[in-house]
Amino acid sequence: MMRMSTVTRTTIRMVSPFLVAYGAYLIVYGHLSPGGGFQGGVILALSVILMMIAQGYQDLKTTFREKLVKGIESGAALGILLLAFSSLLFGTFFFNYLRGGTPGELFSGGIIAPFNVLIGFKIGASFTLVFYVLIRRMDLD
Amino acid sequence: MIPLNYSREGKGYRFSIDEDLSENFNESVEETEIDEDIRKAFEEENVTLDEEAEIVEIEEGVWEIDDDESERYRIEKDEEDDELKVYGYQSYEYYIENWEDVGARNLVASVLADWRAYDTMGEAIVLITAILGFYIILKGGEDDEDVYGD
Repeated sequence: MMRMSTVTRTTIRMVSPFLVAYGAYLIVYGHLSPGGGFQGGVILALSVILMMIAQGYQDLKTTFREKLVKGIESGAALGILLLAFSSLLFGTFFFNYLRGGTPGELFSGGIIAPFNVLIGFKIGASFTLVFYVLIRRMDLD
Repeated sequence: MIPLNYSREGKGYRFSIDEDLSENFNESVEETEIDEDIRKAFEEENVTLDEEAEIVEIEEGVWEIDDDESERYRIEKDEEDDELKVYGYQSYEYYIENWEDVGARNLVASVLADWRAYDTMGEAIVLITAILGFYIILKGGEDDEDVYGD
């Protein structure tokens, strides 16, 4: 499969790690600052997709295996459901049983942070999977 | 819920109680029973109070009517107009007043991932369903080349 020019490839290779860091920051600090699972997850997916567009799908296919992406997506979705059902032990469905902590600190807000992390993984993997499915059509042609 | 007329204070202002009733409001409240006059005043504004609804004086000059679990009304004297005004409690006010319960200093995150986490999970499930359908339809691969080819 075709690759993009050297300039694009070098730039994207440099920018991608920062995109991953930014996406992770948005997810982990989702309960303190603007952001959250959805936004951060999309940026995570974007960093992978950009790499794939620039470097060529064939080269990166072995690094980001489709099975792994599928596994992350399903695992995160199951994790969300588990988190939701684990609240049943403490009261109602999706009750935030770890509420409290000092507002403004990283460890506060109870299950909001783990929920955001799971959502982030799920969204990121979902969009990457969409890209996989779409780009595989190119293999067929 | 009932659409709001927001006052400038953002308290969910509904309507004012007329003067005659306002002056005698103290006397018309006996323990927790709701007087006929109060019921009538509410009915004029198309609010039918429940038979078992109760009125409680939570502090001097401030009453609260518990209609049922979803509807609460607060009756308070307005200092400027000198008349009793009825406010409705709404979910946003509940969120804003109780955000400290959650412990996260982000109201949006608190709503999305705590009070309305069920909703967010629904969104995630919508996405997983969409991708499942997408994957099934456009899957491709060696064994179904005839679908795309001839």
